[in-house]
Formats: sequence, structure tokens, C-alpha cells
Amino acid sequence: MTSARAGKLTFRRVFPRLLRLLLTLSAVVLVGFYGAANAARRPDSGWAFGRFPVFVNLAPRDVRDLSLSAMRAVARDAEPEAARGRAELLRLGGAALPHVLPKLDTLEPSVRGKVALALAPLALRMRVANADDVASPERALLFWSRFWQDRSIDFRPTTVRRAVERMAERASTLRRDDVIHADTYALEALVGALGRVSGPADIARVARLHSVLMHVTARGDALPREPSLDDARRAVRQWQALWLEEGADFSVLEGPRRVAALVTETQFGKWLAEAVLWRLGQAQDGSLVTARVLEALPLSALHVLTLLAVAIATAASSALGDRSAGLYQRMRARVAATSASLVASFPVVLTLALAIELVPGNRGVLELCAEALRRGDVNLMMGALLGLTLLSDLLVTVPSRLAAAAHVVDGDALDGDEA
Amino acid sequence: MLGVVGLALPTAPAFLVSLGHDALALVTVLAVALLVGVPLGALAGSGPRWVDVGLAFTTDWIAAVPVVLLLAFVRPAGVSHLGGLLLLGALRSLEVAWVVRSALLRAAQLDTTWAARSLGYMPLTIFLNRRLPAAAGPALAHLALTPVWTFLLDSVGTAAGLGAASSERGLGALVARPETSAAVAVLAISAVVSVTIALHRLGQHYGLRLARK
Repeated sequence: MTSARAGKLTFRRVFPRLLRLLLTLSAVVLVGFYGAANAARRPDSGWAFGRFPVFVNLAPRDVRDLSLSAMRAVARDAEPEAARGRAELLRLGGAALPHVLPKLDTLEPSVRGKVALALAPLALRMRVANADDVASPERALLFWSRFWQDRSIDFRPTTVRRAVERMAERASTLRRDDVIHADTYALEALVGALGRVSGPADIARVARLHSVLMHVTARGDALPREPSLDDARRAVRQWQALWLEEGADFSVLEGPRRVAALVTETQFGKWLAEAVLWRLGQAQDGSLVTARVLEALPLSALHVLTLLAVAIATAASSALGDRSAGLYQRMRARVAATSASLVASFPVVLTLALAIELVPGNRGVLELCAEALRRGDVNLMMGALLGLTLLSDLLVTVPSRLAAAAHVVDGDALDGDEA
Repeated sequence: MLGVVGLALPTAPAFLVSLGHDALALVTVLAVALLVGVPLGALAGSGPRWVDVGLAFTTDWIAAVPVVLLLAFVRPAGVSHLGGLLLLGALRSLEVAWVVRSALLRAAQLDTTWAARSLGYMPLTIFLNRRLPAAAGPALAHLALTPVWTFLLDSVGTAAGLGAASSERGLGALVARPETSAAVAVLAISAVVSVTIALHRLGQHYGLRLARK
């Protein structure tokens, strides 16, 4: 017997319920994500993080690993591989320099020239050399040796962060060039400086940072001459998405960051970050997941409640067939037994609701979930699954409470969970 | 019998083959549900508290998602046909366990053996003769719905494009296919309903026998 009256909200009842809901959500999210990640393997899924492991990344790669690997590829004679290495060095940009330039001296003389020449387009992008300075392997090697002697002190996080902060405050050619000289080494600070966009000052800041980001990454589209709030927000989102996807390619994973990368550099970690940052993110078609799920939830709730009502009404009316005395008790017993069965068979009730939603015009969150799984739309699938879990947890209390209420014994009742 | 013929003959009509697949699924799911579900429910309803808590959590977790979606999530792990049937059986056994556990708790409310139990004395015979027969009725009624359960999962899973739960060649999948004629669909539904009614009658018979004991 419980000391509190059935139905009364007490901490003793609510806390375990919340704890169970949290555990349920975690378990559903983990299993659901496994299915979603597998469904997203299809090429047209649009899932940006498919190259990462699903849950654990035992060997997360950072800019050091990537740049040294690209340097080794450039050093090889095989042309396709060397071309890939050169392209990779250019993509990694300034972030690769602290790892590549100190290693130049350890390479054979002929290889040294190849690597230095491969970095020539980067020198031009960074606006630290003209075409003549890096025209041949020998000149490129000489240039980079001098560059590193003079400028290695600028490739420090605090120095770059200060340069970015100065540029974010007010643009001038000098301030802009300070950041461009650091190239992708400043990417983390640049993305971090974008911040929230809520007014004209933020729009101006984003416009200043956006042009530099476009220059150092050679990606993105230019903003209009007078960008709106939405333009600025879209730009911020685009750079944050880039950082989320490729952030580790431009930063060093050391200490706690390396440990965290075991989880963060995975598909699940990326999805979680995206879900927290952008409230479950966007579906494949660009629509907001939260809005679509919230729109679909009431219809599914209606379908499930209708099915529950039909099942309970059928159970209660089945007692009418027997004309002996004690009709009320019989009805109560049948409702209790059916309600207990409904609690146990709730996934089947949900499956029936899904069957209803397969009829055109009845699309609820269940069909949304199934459709997202078919398409391999991870964001939509996970958003729909979270909504569905919360809805199920809420609606399963209906048969659970009915089963409990039907078993009132001497004015006291079983708790809903015990029914 | 017809299902066995359907599985044995290479030139058997699609309906008989589907019937055979469903019969196979039914036997496997029922066997697992009985062997695992009933003892688990009995333990949860009258055994250690942690079993009950574990079962409650698992049921909560499973109840949050339609079975067809859950199966679609785990299918990429490379579940074989038999593995899929065992998984279905495990899911069914959780449902049966919850029904048995609920029935045992209800029976415990009306139990006259509280004096003996309050002294920490719980002979197995009291449990077997009084409590378990009380749970047998709801459990058997629940188990009797297994053919409808697998049929529903197969048909909804196929119609939703997520794949059939028990077999791509089962009756549920057959009915959900657009090329299936209405006559075959009606025949398939009639077969499932007949098996369900037969199982229900069988359950009632054994339930009454247990209660009389």
C-alpha cells in the first residue's frame, strides 16, 4: 500500500518517474541513432557527418595528423596521391603551418622543395608573398624558412584571438591583414567571434568576419551589400556548421580535448552538438525539425487516444454480454485487465497508430519518424523520435492510471506504475 | 498443416508459403514468450525488487517506440531471420512478463496468505497454487493475440516501407503488397483471426483447468 493517495503528485512519485523518463530517453536516443546513422549511409541522405564513427572515435584525427599525412603524400612521387596531398595542405591552410614548417628540415632536400612549393598557393592566399617569392622549389623553401623564423611567434592562440577581437570590433586594412596572415589558424577564433545576431551592431560584425572567413576557407557566398538580420544569421549558421563538421581538422586535440574527442568526433557527438546549438537542427529539405515535430504531435496523440478509448470501451462493453449480477465489478475488472495489457502492448498501439497515419492526410509524428528513417534524414528522425518518446510516456499513463484506479481496495489504490 | 505444406512444396501458392512462414514465426515467438515472459513476470511480481524495476524500465523504453521502428533500428546490425524471430519473441516476452507481473500484483491485493508472508514465510506451493493460476488467465489471453500481433507488425512494417517484422514472405507482408488481390487478403485475415480464436479457446481451456486446481 502506498501512503500517498493514488493520483496525488508527490516528490516520491515524480522523481523516479522523471528518472525513468530520462533513462528511457537516453536508451531510445542511442538505439534510434544507431538506426538513423545506418539509414543515412545512402548517398542522397544529406547527412554531413557520415565519415565519422557512430558512437566512439578511438582515433580522432586533428590538424597535426592530417597535415603530416598530407606532407608525406606530397613527398611521394605518385602523382594522384601527391596532388591530393597538395590540395589537403591548401585546405588545412595556416593551421597546418606550425606542424609542417618545423618538420621541413627533417626531410630530404628534394622532398623539402616539393613541400615548400606545395605551400606556395597558401603563401599567396595569406598575402605574405608574391608569385616570384615562391616560383621555384628553392625560392619557396627559402621563403618559408624565413617566414617561420620571423612569424612563428604570431601562430599562438592568444595572439590570433586578440587580432580577431580587434577586427571584430572595427575593421581596418591592417587589422584584417593581421587575421588573413594567420589564415585557417584563426578559424576557431573567427567562428567563436561571430556570436549571437540580434541587432545592427551584430550584423556589421558578422559582415566583417564573414569576408575574412570566406577568404581563408575559400568557401561560402558573399553577403549582400546591406545584409539583413536573416542574412547574418544564415551566415553565422553556415560557419558554425563548418566548424562542427571540420573543426578538428583545424585544431590540435590535446589533453582533455583529446579525451572528449572520443565522443565529440563521432556522428552522435556531432548530432548532439547540432541539436543543442540549433534546437534539433534542420531536416533534409531545410525545414526546422522542432516546428515539424510540434506540428505533427497533436495528430498522433489523437490517434493513440482514439485507439486506447476504443480498446477500453470494447473491454467495458464486453461485460454486458454476461447478464449475471455484479456488472459494475465485472466491467471494472475487464477494464483493469485490458488497461494492464494496453500498458504492456503500448508499442502495438503505437504501431496501429502508425497504420492510421499511413493513410494520406493523417500524417502524425509516427509517420514523420518512419519517413525520415526511409530517407536517412537523421535530424528529422531523431527529432521525431524524441517527440514520440515524450508523447508515449505521457499517453501510457492513461491505461496505467485506469488499471490502478480500477483496483481500489478499501479506499486505497495501487500506484499507476504498479498496475 | 497447410503452412507446413506451403513450406515443403516448392511450387506451393504464395498464400500457403506465407501461412508456413507465419506458423514458424508464431511457434518461435510463442515459445520464447512463454519460456522467458512467464518466469520473468513471476519474478518481477513476487521476486526481488530489482527485477521489477528492471522490467519496468525496459517496458518503459520499449513502449516509447512502435515495434516496427524499433526493429528497423536494430536490423542494420545484421540480424538473421532466426535472430529476428528470437528478437520478436523477446519483445513479446516483455509484454507477457508485464501482464503476468500486473496480474500477480492484483492477486496479491486479494491474497489471504498475507499473515504467512508477513512472517517472511512464502512457500512455493502458495505461489504456484494461488498466485500463478490467477495470472494465467490474462497471460494466456495476451499470448493468444500473438498471431494478430505478428500479422500487424508485418503488414504495417511493409506498408510503411520499413520491412516486415517476422518475414518478408509472411501473411502480413503479403496483404500489404499492392499486387495482392482482395480475395487473398481476406483469406489471409481470416486465417489469422481463426488461429487467434483457436489459441484463445485453448488458453481459456487451460486457464480454467489451472484455476480449478
